[in-house]
Amino acid sequence: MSRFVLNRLWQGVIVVLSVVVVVFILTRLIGDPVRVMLPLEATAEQRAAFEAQLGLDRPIFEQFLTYVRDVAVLDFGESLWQRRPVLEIIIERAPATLVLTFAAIGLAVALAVPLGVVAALRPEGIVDRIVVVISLLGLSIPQFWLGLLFIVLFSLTLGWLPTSGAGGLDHLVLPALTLALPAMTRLVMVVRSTMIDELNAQYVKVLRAKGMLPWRVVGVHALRNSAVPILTIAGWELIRIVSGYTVVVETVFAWPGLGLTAIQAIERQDLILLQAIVFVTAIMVVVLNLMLDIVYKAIDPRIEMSAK
Amino acid sequence: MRSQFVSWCVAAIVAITPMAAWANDITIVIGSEPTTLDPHAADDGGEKAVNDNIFDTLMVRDTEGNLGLGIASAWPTQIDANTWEFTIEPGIMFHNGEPLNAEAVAFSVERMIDPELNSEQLSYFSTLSGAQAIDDLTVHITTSGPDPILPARMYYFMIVPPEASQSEGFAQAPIGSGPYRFVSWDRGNQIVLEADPDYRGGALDVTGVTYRFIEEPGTRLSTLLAGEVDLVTNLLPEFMGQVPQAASMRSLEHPMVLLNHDGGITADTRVRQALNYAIDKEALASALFEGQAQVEAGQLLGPTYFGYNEDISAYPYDPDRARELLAEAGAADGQITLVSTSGRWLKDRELTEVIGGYWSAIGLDVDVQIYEFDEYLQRLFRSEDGQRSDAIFIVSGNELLDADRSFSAYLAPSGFGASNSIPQMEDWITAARTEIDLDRRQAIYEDVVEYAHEEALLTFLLNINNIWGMSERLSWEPRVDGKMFVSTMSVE
Amino acid sequence: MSIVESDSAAVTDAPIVPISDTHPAGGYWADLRADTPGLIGAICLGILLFIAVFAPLIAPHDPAAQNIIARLQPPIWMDGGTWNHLLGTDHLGRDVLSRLLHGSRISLFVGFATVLVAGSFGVLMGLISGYAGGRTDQWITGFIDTQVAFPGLLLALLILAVIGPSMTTVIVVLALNGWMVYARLTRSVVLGLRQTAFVEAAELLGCRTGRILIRHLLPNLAAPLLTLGTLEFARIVLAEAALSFLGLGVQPPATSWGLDVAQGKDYMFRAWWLVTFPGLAIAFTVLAINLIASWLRVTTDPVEREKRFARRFGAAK
Repeated sequence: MSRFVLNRLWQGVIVVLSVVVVVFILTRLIGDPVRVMLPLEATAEQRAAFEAQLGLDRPIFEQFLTYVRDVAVLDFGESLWQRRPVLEIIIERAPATLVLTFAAIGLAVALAVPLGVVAALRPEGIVDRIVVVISLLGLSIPQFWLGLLFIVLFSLTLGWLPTSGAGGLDHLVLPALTLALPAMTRLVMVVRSTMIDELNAQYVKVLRAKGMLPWRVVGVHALRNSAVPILTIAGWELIRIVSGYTVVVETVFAWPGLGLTAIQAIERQDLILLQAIVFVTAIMVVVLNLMLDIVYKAIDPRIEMSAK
Repeated sequence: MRSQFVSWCVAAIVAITPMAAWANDITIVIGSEPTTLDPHAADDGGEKAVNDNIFDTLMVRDTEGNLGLGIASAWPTQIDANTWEFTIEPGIMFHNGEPLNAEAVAFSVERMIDPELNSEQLSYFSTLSGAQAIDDLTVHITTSGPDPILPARMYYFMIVPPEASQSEGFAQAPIGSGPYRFVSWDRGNQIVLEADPDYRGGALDVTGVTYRFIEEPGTRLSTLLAGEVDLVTNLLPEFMGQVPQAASMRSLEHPMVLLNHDGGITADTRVRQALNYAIDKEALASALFEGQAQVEAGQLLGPTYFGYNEDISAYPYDPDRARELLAEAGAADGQITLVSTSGRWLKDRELTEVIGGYWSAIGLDVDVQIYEFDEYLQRLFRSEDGQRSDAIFIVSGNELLDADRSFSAYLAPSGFGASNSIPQMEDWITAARTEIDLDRRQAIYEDVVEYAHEEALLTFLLNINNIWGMSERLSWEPRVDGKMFVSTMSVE
Repeated sequence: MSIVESDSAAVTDAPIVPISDTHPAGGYWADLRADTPGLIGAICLGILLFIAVFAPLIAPHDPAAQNIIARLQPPIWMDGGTWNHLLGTDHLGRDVLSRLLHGSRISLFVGFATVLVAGSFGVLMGLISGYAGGRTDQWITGFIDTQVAFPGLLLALLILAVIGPSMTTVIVVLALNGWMVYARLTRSVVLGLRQTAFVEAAELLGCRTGRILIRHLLPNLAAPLLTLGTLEFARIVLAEAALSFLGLGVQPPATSWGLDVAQGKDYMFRAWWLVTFPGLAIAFTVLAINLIASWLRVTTDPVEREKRFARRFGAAK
């Protein structure tokens, strides 16, 4: 087990290092950092000071080492837009994104499991067809558009929920639902197909023949056996959301998380802030991947150290 | 980070219902979040919108823009060429108990010009060189040269408490002397202020105000339509009929087009005049802005600005005359480049494209080039070699309501956005800048206006309105300078 | 639907089967006609392609032509609508229908181009990896695993911020984030083939592995690649729309559905048609492609096909 964890940890370190290299190449080598990062009105002294701060006068390899050292201690520098340490901004905004993410994934699982099970009970039946159609639609509707529709319907027409911003639980509902929908539709399909297989299995027929109540067969035995594939896909969806999914939804609902901050940073040419958000997100993705791997390993020790 | 997360979760779970607001608390939506609440550091609209209610200034303006006394007790006097004397009202206190006296004013001036602070507001206060408290209520503010409009500048100068402003957290939790006190700032989400119960101006109708920050105009509008907020800024004119109440007021913004006097097709005066005759400004105001704009009187200044010339009026819409002038200049089917940007000002792209359409209609071959803002700036700022695009769209905003600010930027050849090298313009504008005799100063500006109009150095367009959307219960009179003083608002 | 990272991982795990099995018995066309949703999707995509190719001829107006006097006109069936503008006009008086028709070009072009670029590169890497084996294979697989764990969208935003948004940048960024699935698929097909008895036999007989692989590879690769490419196509149409919506994709004066939704949302409460029609167009396009993809997936996968057959048979009974 510990070798397994170490190995996964090592893979994570490689991912984070690669992100550091890619970001360095992007911001230092492809773009002229002074031109890209400083406002045009910047004076000659400001430019010189900025060059010195980034160490642009030194050899590129030395610049890279300094860069890695700063990133290693999470020193991302100062935001050009807000004139304060970037880390401070990220610490302020990250909780909103995490709350939204976990709410969305929770919602997706909570909706997908019952829908998938009901659909699987009678494949090609009416309920199944409706579920399949809904999930096809869910995969096809653009998220930003869905969010706008939700605002018009639930906030303006019905007046049930607030339109935007963060606050109480009521503020969370629409963004979480919008974010959850595509993940939910993919999950429904997985739940449905694993349950169909499971319900066709021999043991289900035996249990039914023995007179066990149908809901018990489905709810306890079949569902428990389907748990691993469902959890696997849910984990993938979680990582997918964390790795940048929230940007669109946060923009539509003015949700004050990292995604909205990234867009605001782009609008204000604040690449220092943007690259820090990329790093932090990469770290979150790696950590989540690691945690999920460990969880799977704990659930099912047969899982190999395959290169997923 | 973890404690933040926990508090977020707690907030999410506990506050299922929206905060039970006091009847007289209001919510205002502004376009961008302040980057800091230090009133001297940044030049950003969000910071001003909040701090205007927390801090006092020596001078104020009425809704029409006429200058009046703020905490100054008498009109300031210029005691020598480079010194202005201000006296202030006695007995004013900051919210933390520090006295607002001559010392505090002098301290504030010194703080603003301190290179250490590196204030973004220095372009407003570049003439300040120091300040000295003469007695408890008298202060001398010195300038590096004669500065006739120092009182107008003081409308934007906020007085800070000497002690509190030196502490670490001042930029996050400012302390002022105005009608509202700072309560909290939940970054990314909201800022809350409360009425100062001891405010010297008497009881305030609005007891508390929450600022929210939403950049998208559509999202801003939807918060108002859903009844979540009381006031939203920069409403599009199209929605005035849909919100519970709308308030609109002439703003300080003048869209215009800089025409290159020094070269290209626009070097000919007749061409520049033709470009002015070609545009139907009435139609722009009524169709594109749905009536929420006025035709600008051919001088880049509003009627309440210092330097306004009453004898000059807009070029009429006369496409036939425009075609004649082009033909005379031998430019009947000439090419012209129009440079602009998008998303920076209200309807900037729309306006640019419509102008291009009008110019095409008089026979020109118009190349409309719309750039990202920073690329656009590269074309706007006057380069060393003096190469300029034929026509550059820009919106001038003159917060000082004085001709000097607009003219120095766009008409004086040394200005960052000027498209001419006429020595006479530079001489006039430099002379007026330090002219202390107001009548003589006014006379110079009238000459500048007349010359710029006759020579058509710009394509004069419109003066657009600021529009606010308001909830049913709010009453408030908007101001020409766009400031939102909560102390002038009331709720039913 | 994820914006940038691939959703198509499932396809890459498709089992390797003898060639003949990947073809439906009566040919693709007969099979498609039997699958109503798939048929509907194919017809819709055909219509879309027709529109995209002939947009300049079909569109009643120039999509960029503005008329400030006739701005924000409603569609024909509402009060104030005119025959001149069937779906109304936008905030600059441009014809919504014409913009919609022209917008299909960007969506489909970005989709095709990205699938082509990402697919070619991915297949090439997969071939190299699977064919060469050993060190090379390890390096390429390691590279793929690392990039899969990147925060794809955010990195894409950074690239767009540094280089500046344009249609080309969008294609490059989306291809950069999407090639890995093709590489994995190709590699697994190559490896699977190598282990089949007839290849091993041929090697024993002294035939050159390369020739055998190439002869048998393409037929085995074509069906799963087609399915994967179709799924990716749907994903990329959505991704382009989302990037354009954020202002980081296609730039005006070019038209894109995502861009039109972004521009129209400021006027949403007065002119619902500005947001509704382009949004529906995106959903319609993606739905059509998804229908085809799900038909392809079932049709080219014998296991799935058998399941479907069994279910139909069971249901008929």
